[in-house]
Amino acid sequence: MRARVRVLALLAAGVAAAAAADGVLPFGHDSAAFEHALTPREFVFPRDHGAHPTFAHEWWYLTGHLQAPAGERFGFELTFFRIALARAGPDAQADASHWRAQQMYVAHFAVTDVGRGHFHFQERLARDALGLAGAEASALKVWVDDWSLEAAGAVWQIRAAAQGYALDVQMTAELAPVLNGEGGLSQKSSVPGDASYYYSIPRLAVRGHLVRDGQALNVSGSAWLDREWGSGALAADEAGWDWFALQLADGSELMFYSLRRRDGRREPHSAGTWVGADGRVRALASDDVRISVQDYWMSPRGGRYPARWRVEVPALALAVNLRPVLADQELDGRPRYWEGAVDVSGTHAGGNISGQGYVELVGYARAP
Amino acid sequence: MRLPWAALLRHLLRHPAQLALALVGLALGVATIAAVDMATASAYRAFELSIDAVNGAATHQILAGPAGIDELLYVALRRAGLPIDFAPIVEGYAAIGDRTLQLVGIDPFASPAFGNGASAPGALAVRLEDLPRWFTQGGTVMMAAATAAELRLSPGQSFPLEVSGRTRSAQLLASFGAERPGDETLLLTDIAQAQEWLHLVGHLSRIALRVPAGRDGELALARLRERLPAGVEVHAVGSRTRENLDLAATFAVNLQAMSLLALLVGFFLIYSAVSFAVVQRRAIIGVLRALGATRREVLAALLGEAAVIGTVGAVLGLLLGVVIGHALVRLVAGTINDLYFVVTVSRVTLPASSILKALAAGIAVALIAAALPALEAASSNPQLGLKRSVLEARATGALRWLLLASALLGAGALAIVFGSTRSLLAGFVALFLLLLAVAALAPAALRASARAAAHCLARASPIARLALNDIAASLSRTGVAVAALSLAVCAMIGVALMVDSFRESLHDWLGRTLRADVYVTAPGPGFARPERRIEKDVAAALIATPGIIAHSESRRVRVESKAFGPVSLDALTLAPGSYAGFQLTAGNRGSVWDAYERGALVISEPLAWRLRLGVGDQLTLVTARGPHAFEVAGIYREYGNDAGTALVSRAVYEAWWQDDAVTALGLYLAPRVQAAGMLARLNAVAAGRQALMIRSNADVRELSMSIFERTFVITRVLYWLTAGVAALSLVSALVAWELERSRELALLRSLGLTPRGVAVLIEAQTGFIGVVALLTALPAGVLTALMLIDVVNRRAFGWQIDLHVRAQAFAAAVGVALSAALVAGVYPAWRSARAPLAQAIREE
Repeated sequence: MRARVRVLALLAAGVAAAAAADGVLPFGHDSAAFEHALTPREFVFPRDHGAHPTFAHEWWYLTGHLQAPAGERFGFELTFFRIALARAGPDAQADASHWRAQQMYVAHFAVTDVGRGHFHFQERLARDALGLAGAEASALKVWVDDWSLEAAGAVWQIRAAAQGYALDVQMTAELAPVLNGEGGLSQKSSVPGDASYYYSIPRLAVRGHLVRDGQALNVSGSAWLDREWGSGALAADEAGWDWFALQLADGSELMFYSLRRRDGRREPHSAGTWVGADGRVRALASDDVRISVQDYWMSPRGGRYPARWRVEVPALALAVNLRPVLADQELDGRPRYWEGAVDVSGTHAGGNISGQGYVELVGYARAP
Repeated sequence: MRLPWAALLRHLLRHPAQLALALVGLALGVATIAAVDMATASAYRAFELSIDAVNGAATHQILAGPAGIDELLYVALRRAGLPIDFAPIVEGYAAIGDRTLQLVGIDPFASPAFGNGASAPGALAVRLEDLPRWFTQGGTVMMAAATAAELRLSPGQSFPLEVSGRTRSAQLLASFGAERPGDETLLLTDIAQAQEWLHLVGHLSRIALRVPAGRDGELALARLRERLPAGVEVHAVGSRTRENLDLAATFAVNLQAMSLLALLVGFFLIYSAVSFAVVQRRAIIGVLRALGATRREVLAALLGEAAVIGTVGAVLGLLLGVVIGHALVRLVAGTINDLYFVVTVSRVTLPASSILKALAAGIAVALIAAALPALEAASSNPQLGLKRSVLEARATGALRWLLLASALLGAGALAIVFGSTRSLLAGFVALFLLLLAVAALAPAALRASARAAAHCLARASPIARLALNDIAASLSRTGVAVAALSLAVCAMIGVALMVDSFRESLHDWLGRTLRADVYVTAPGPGFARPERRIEKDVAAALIATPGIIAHSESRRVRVESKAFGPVSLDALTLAPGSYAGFQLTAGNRGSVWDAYERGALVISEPLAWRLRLGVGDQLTLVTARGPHAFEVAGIYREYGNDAGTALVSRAVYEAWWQDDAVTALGLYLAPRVQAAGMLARLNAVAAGRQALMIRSNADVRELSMSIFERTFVITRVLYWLTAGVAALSLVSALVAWELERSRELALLRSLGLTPRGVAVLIEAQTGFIGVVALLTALPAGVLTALMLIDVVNRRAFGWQIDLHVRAQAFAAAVGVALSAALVAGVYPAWRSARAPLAQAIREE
């Protein structure tokens, strides 16, 4: 998904630009060093859950909603980014330091504690050396320090901890991977190669423990996984994007991203995917989806974010309102962006419908 | 303006030279105090900053032995889920041209600028856009913008860098704004690059930690300690870093001694300058009292004036002190670099406490100096106050008290020396009491010798008798001058003898200790830095060079001890000829070296003194296998390291510390092989592999001696400052005295003495005073030297120095005393020889 390109992109923008300019890192379209997403590929699972180091960047993006037995609600986000610093060179010299690395990893971990009104975020960076961070290519295993996402058969284990909150949960996919774009090839612009391979698992059952202030809570809920990799560069005229991932109570899911251009208009390559309750997948084009902002939130760190939305998909007879469960779910990292849990309510095919979702808003942060 | 004020002020203004002398004296005194304080404070601060710059926000650090910390321990700790931030550090030194910088290898992702980080160099973050080059391009470094400007480097520029004897190609990635002055000594590079450059692949120098405060932190630390292998320990930053302990133990002592000496010299100078200014005006005071000014008024006027002069002089002195201080800073920093570690004094600081101290010293001493003569003058009978005879009678009366004081001071000094055993402060107090005893004794010596000489010369020359009796009768003037001079000369002789004795002892010791013909040392600054090592293949090639028949190997490191902080360890494989180089002062000669080979330590005198260890005692050191108690088998003489060294057999060291590196080699040549030719061959062997310091025995001796000389540069500066102060006060006192006597001299001339005769008379008088001061100071100077050698040096460093007395040590003192005395006579002699007789007499 394109939006995710951008979170990584903002983080890695400087890296990429500087690297390309220096000739250190052939990050651009014309580079032969990295593989590019040019044609649809055949996805093979579980192998494709693993890393694709022949591409310049890649990420594993998990968001989810949890409930404790006493009714307390939580949202969480755990993301791993892989960024190539250099193409894989010849074997290192015998006396080379083990700290030499060709890849770096960035991880974001956020918890929305709805009951207490807390939002907690931490960022970690590490190089792919000495086991500090890494990802396996053959199966799902990615980690930064002691934060990890790892598959043991059909069960996936998540571990992450930051001051006050620790997540230790297992997930099982309730749906097969959904290929976004054209059979998983997500074209970013009209330029060939400016694309990525992109799939989602829009619903995973979650069960495990959330430790808060040293006290373990049994939690369960559902999560959403986004996976994307590519070597594409970025368009210069884009200001940011809004990304929506909604899980509706009837078992259907909607994903849509709206790319905002600097002139304020929506980029025509904005797109989405609808997964019906029956499991049927339908690609959505930019014109299929109407989004109107109902309210705004001022970040105490600077910037004005949209805060409530009305999302309409006439072709699906869907009209829902989205309301953040907590106003301040801004991740004060690099870059600073908003990614938070929202409640969903509205109508679908003539009947009332509710649900939950995650929204990502990038490009709104301003200097205070 | 009230009368006493006006009259006294007018007198001063009419005698601007007196006012100037008082101000100069005061200013010099305050300047000396401020300058030494400033130099020491700046050097100390620079040192602290260089430590801070590397430690950043760290609260603790993990340290291990000379072999460093296994990098996998860091990975394991990071993944252990402890609420502690960790940052790995690999450090050493690198040189760009003449400039030596701290080479610090960091992982920028562990630094706080990335949000969660630990505590590698504080706010020094690698920018995101610089990351690819930082990680993937060999040789990228960062430094403070000021340092880059100084070295004329701009971002992107490549330049050669000297690390561990190899020239590397480095490129300046970017510069950072130095947040703290210490940042300017940093050369940052990626940890991978630092490991490769410093030959530390697989190892870390330290792991910096940020541990939360409070109970959580304590618990986390306890959990952390459980995970540390033997020989790896956590220390709180600031409490026991190896560097600041060294400083506390050794260099601080030098600095304290210098400050105290400066304070004493300054006090003395201020005192003499201000008390003269008051004594000069006895006549005016007498007149004022006769005109009805009360004692209180006169006293208030004099003290008020002293306060004003004191303040003005002190402020001038502070300004002067800042100027002198800048020059001294370089000397102090140079000493630290030679002996301790690399310090770049980038900012000169004068702490507020030093400003207050110098100002307070100036003003308070000025008030005290004015108060004593002022009280005396103000309380005198109005009529009598005009008479010199009364004053002189009083001065003579005071002699008895001075003699008593001198005896008491001397006895006090002795009591302190024998009553205390280790206190350095007590040693200094005793030294100062001794100097004061000499000062108190001098006026009595002057009077007695003048009278005795007058008695002897009475028949031969009535003029000489007159002149000598004049000296004896003018003690209020001559007494202070002679006291000042003998004190200064005594201090000069003491210091000169001490430095001479030290030099000789060091010279003898070098001759005995340096047994090998050629010494090879790994390059780089810093004593006992673990990254200083001769590369294995280079060492093997050097030893295999034809013409070498034996060699010794040395590994110099610092290791933690259980009870005493870091200890310098010299792990030696001795050549057969090396053993004789160690002069044992304790331990059984027959069995020491057997015990040594079996695992015992042989420690140097300074270490034995500092740690209070004797033969048979145990010293527990932290080894790579955990703490181990080593027995002390012997104590040897050493001047090379004032913190002390422990010798250990290299085989024993390797077994305990798992480190087989070599820091230095001693090479023994076959008979008839010339060292000069061998140096060339050895240099050829090492060329292109590692830049090593290869020196002949003679060169090493010369180098050691030149370092010694540099170390005493500060002492020498103070020595000449003292001499200058003493000469100045003598000149000012004698000039004033002789000028006062212009009427008497005119009278003598009217009685037939030629102008030339007057000049000779005056020169003879001042010369006599100089000689007496000298004679008083000579024995006292030897005593002072003994005090410096056996009390102060012994207590500060633990080493024993043999007293060497050479005539040259007295030369400067003799020169200063005599030339000051003679110069003091020149102006009065010239003046009275030229003054019209009638006018001089009429002045009465």
